Amino acid sequence: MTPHPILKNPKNIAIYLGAWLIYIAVNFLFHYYKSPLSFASSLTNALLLGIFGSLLGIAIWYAVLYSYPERVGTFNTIINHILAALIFISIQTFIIISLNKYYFGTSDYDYVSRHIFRWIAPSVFIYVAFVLAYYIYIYRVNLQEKKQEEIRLTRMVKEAELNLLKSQLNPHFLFNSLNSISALTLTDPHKAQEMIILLSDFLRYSLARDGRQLSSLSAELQNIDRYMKIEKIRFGDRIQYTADVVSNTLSCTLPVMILQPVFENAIKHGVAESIDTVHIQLSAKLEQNYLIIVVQNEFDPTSPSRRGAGLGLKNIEERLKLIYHNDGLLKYRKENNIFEVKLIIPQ
Amino acid sequence: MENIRAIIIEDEEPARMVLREYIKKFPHISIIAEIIDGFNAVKTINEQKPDLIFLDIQLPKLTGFEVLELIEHTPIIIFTTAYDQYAIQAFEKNAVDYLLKPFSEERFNTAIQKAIEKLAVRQNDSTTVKKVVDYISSNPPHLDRIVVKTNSAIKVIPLEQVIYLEAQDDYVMIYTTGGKHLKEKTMKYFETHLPDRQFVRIHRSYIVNIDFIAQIEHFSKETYLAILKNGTKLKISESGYKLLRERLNF
Repeated sequence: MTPHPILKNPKNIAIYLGAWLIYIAVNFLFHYYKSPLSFASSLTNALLLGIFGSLLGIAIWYAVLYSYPERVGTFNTIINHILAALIFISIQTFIIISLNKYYFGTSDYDYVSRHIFRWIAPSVFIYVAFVLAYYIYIYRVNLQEKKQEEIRLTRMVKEAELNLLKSQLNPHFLFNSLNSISALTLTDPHKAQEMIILLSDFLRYSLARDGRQLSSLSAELQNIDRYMKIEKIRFGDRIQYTADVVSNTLSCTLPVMILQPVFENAIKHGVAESIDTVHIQLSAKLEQNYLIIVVQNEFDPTSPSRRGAGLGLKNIEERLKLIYHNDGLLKYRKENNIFEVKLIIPQ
Repeated sequence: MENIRAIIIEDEEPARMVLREYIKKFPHISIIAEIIDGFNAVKTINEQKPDLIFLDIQLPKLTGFEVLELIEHTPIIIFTTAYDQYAIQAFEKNAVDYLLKPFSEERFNTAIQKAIEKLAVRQNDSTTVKKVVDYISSNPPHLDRIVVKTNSAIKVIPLEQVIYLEAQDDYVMIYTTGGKHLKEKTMKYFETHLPDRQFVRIHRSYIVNIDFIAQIEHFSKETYLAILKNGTKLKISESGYKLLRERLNF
């Protein structure tokens, strides 16, 4: 529930009461000097108007809060307010007239009853002004809340998308690696242990991150080294990996685990589909403010690609778009028997 | 006991090594070949007619299932795979033996025992294997390539090269940019398994790749003709015309 805009803090209450005191004073002085009313009548009338008005000003808020068009309909809202105003102003008028009739002089009573509109009009005006002010206030608060909610939702969706896009660990890779390890335990337990450590480090790196996090190129490359070492045990001489990295790029940042799917793709469509050696080559350099990473792999052009090709790359593209708000940060092309992926990472 | 002739079809050396190690304990099983790709697997199985094969699913050139589509001799098959939900379902449903990598020696021995029993009663695997292949081909949503056997070789046809298919009794003639190939499958099979945003059954006898349609002409009152980019004219039935309109938005 929205807190009362006036009662929610002492400062607002003070300003509110101050404004009403000024209103009472002006009303009193006006009638005392500019009308035939006595001092007592002028003061009492002004005080009554002020006390009623200030209480009403506070109370209207609750009427507005429980009787707004979206809830009870526009027609009902208007009727409710007219009724409330009518009842309230009638009571106020009745009290003012009665007091003047029974406690002050006849001239006061005559004047007040002849000019009662002077006390009714400000109350009507105040009622309408408060209603409008409160409605505007409520709509503004709702609008802000809505906007914030919207921002929160978009952020949540984006976050979810990012995490989804972040390379999901491929169970195929995991089980095949475990199978290689199981083979190594038979022939070369020392190498098996080495491989378990590689695999553990790789898993740690890939699991403990969220989709938005940035990493350094050197950390990414280290992870690719692990990945390629693991895959090399599976595929042996069918894989050959070389990296050509300009040293000033090593501290560049890029989304964590953005390179691994590129290599997974190269292995899936290059190495796993071929019986010959497949070269996978990475190069990294800095151009203006962009880190340019190119990964090339050979593939067998006579082996038709299966569907699902390029899904990993699409994910990378989406991720880059979400993180850098920029299209076209991933490019790829096929030429003869070379597949090339180019990542352009803003620094 | 009779000697069992086995072939290992597996592209990863460590995986082959595990199999070799485990098989060593069975002196009457001899490994007559180790194959690392689908093409050679088909060739070797047809030539050597082994009693038993260890077959991986993910292979270069052809998948293990495509290999099974193309062989003429059906040995006892033990599938080996690391992770493939479709395949595992297919195996389980059809009681074919399979080994999930990595597998233990005990698990391997059980598989071998089963294989030996089957061999002893000369019970051929071909019907169950056919069921597995059918299951696999009916379950992934779409084909992404078609394998056919020509006289001398195996051809893998990417769908982009398929122009249209024509019903021919129990066979389907596949017209491609590089020629035509006969395949023992039904039109119904291709109708349901080719991606339907690319292939439309325009007639009882034809499924066409819409990328190859050049124009559509009125033929008679209720029939139309599809004129393909290579000049071929195919009849379109009334219902086929409706499908085409939907697919091509005209």
